[in-house]
Formats: sequence, structure tokens, C-alpha cells
Amino acid sequence: MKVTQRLLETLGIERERLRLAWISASEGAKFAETVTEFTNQLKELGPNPLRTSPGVQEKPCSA
Amino acid sequence: MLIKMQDITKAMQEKARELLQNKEVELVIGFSKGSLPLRYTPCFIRQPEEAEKLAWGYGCENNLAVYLRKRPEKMAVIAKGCDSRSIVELIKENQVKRENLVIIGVPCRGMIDRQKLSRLLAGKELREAEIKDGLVAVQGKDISASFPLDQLLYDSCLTCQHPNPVLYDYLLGEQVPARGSDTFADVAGFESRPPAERRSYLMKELSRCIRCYACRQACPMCFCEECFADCSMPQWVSKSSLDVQANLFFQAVRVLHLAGRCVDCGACDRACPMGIDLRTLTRKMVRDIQELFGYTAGISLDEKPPLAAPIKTAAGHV
Ligand code: SF4
Ligand code: SF4
Repeated sequence: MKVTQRLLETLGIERERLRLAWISASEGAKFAETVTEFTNQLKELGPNPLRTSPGVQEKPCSA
Repeated sequence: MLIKMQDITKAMQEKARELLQNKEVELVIGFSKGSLPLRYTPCFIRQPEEAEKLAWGYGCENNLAVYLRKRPEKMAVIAKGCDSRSIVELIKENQVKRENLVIIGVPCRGMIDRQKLSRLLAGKELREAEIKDGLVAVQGKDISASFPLDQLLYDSCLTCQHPNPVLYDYLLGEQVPARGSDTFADVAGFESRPPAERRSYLMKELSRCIRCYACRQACPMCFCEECFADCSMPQWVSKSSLDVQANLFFQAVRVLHLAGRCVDCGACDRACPMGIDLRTLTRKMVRDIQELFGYTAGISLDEKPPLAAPIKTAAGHV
């Protein structure tokens, strides 16, 4: 995890965009809570910076 | 130094002949001279009388460990420092049987980067090159020049900490002194740039990628039978090289899969036909693994790879 987060950071992607949580099948509430919280965090961070960086053209359709 | 290289070539041919004649091995993997100056190419020798094709010089840049996996026969391989480190990792990953392999180690003085040379020659055609006393004398159409050898070596050779093979059965030539410590100043320098700048640098580099996968094929450690980049069900990453994000994603995953296994030989970077800077990312990973796990790939057969054993760091378990 640490290794991946550090790599993402170097690519210019915030490390907060990657998260690992261990939740058992019996912990429904914890699962919902974690996902909601993470979704909110991602919304706050906005779209992936790689998508919006200069020099990126959108994929030509059906390429 | 030229004499030395010739001596090594001779010793190499003799050793190969002897091993083949005595049926100790069926195959010797080494280098032979290419058709252009400073060019050497991997070669596979099966008959004792072919051993004279073997050669050693400043263009033996491929990492020959890439040819060793899953071969049934007993074989010998010529190994520089970096090749030997890859072999160590391959043995640890059960990809190569040590008892089937005879390692002919050769201490390495660094290999010449022909692109650096061709930039210095402003693209003029090189016809001859002679290396003597740390100087490279080049001749060609309208050129006759001489450059210090260090100015022409690959960047990966200039920071190399292990020029001498770490594992071998025979050693040809004298051990060479290692270069001063590698501080990873290039990686630190890159990371000190603002995120947006880093992103656009990498995107610009990877915008040239044609997805030939030469980087993957040249790497001894990139040996998955089925690469995630080739899968279509599910398709993990777009196969179109026009998709720059996907090109960067491919490199990011490649580098991640090489965590703790990459020996920083630079073979991927050299193989790239588009001259894309791949070492910024591979070296970042090498440095991070050193920092987080205190592990350097390919140094010893006994040290467990970081992802195979919980390793304690200053920050606790990682
Ligand atoms: S990733 Fe590149 S530098 Fe690292 S071991 Fe593979 S070929 Fe060598
Ligand atoms: S060798 Fe270069 S062009 Fe080919 S896939 Fe790798 S990065 Fe892309």
C-alpha cells in the first residue's frame, strides 16, 4: 500500500485517492460507512488530475 | 584497456569451448560482435567450435538473465554485475535452477550509450571506435574525435554500485572498483518538482509510447505468462497507444510489479525504441524499496524479498 501510494504521488496523483480497508462480511455498517466516507473524500478531491492535465486528448472514439 | 577486453574475450571463448566439450553444459549464452561499431548482440552457442563467436566489449549492454527462464538444458551464461543480480532474484523466485546454470562472471566497467555518442557526433555516421586508456577514439565520415569514456557511459552504469558479479562460478578479468554511493539525486530532484509538472513531464514522455512492449520483453523480471496489458477479459488497460493515460498506467503497474525485484540495470530504458525516459519511475521504485524495507534486489540469495517476509522498519510493520 505504502509503495503504491508513494508511486501515485510521484505520478502527481494524491495518495488520499487510494485506500485499503479490511472489512468482514458481517460488518455491513462499517462497510457502508467506509465507502460513504471515501466517496465524499474523492468528491472533495475532484476528478483524477491525470484526466485534466495538459496534453491529454480524449480517446478517439472506438479506437 | 583494449588489451584487457581482448583478453577477456579470449578467456571467455576458452571457457565456453571447455564447458561444451566436456558436456558440462549444452548451451552458452553470451555476446558476439554486431555489424556496426560498438554493437554487440546476444548469441547462443551450442557447438564447441562456435565458441570463437563470443566477444566482450563496451556494447554488451543487454541483460542476459532474460534468456534463462524455463530452459530444460544445462547452460552457461556470461554475467555482468547487473545480470548476476537479476539471476539471484530469478533463483529466489524459482524461475532458474542454480544447479542447471554455470555463471561466467565478468566485472563490468560500464557500457557505452550509443545515443550519447551520436548526439556528440551530431548524427554523423560512426565507422570505427577504439577504446584505450579511458578514451574513446571515434572515426567516421568527416569525423575524427576522442571523448572520455565516462562521458559516454549509460546513466545506469554511472550510478552502478555492483559492477562485479555477485554470484558466479568463474570470474574473467579483475574486479573493478564500485562507483561512489548512489544518492538517487535524480529521483529526489524529480519529486521536488510540483505535482502538475511531474504529471505533464511523464504524460509528455509516455505520449510517444507505441506499446511495442520492448521494455517488458527486455526485462528479466517481467515474466508473467499472461501480462495484465495483454488481457482482454477483463481488459485492465486500454491497448491503444493513443491513450496516454493508459500508457502511463501501464508503466505505473509495470514498475509496481517490479518492486523489490528491479536491479536498475536499465535494460528497459535502452530497449525502448521511442527513447522514453523509463528510469525515472523504475529508480523511484528502487529507492522507495530501499527506504521502506532496507532491501536492494539481487544482492544475496538468502535475504528474503520484501513482499515475501514481514520486515520491521523504523515505522513498525509495513
Ligand atoms: S525494470 Fe528495467 S531496470 Fe529494472 S530490472 Fe527490469 S529491465 Fe532492468
Ligand atoms: S518500450 Fe517504449 S514504446 Fe515500447 S511499450 Fe515500452 S515505453 Fe512504450
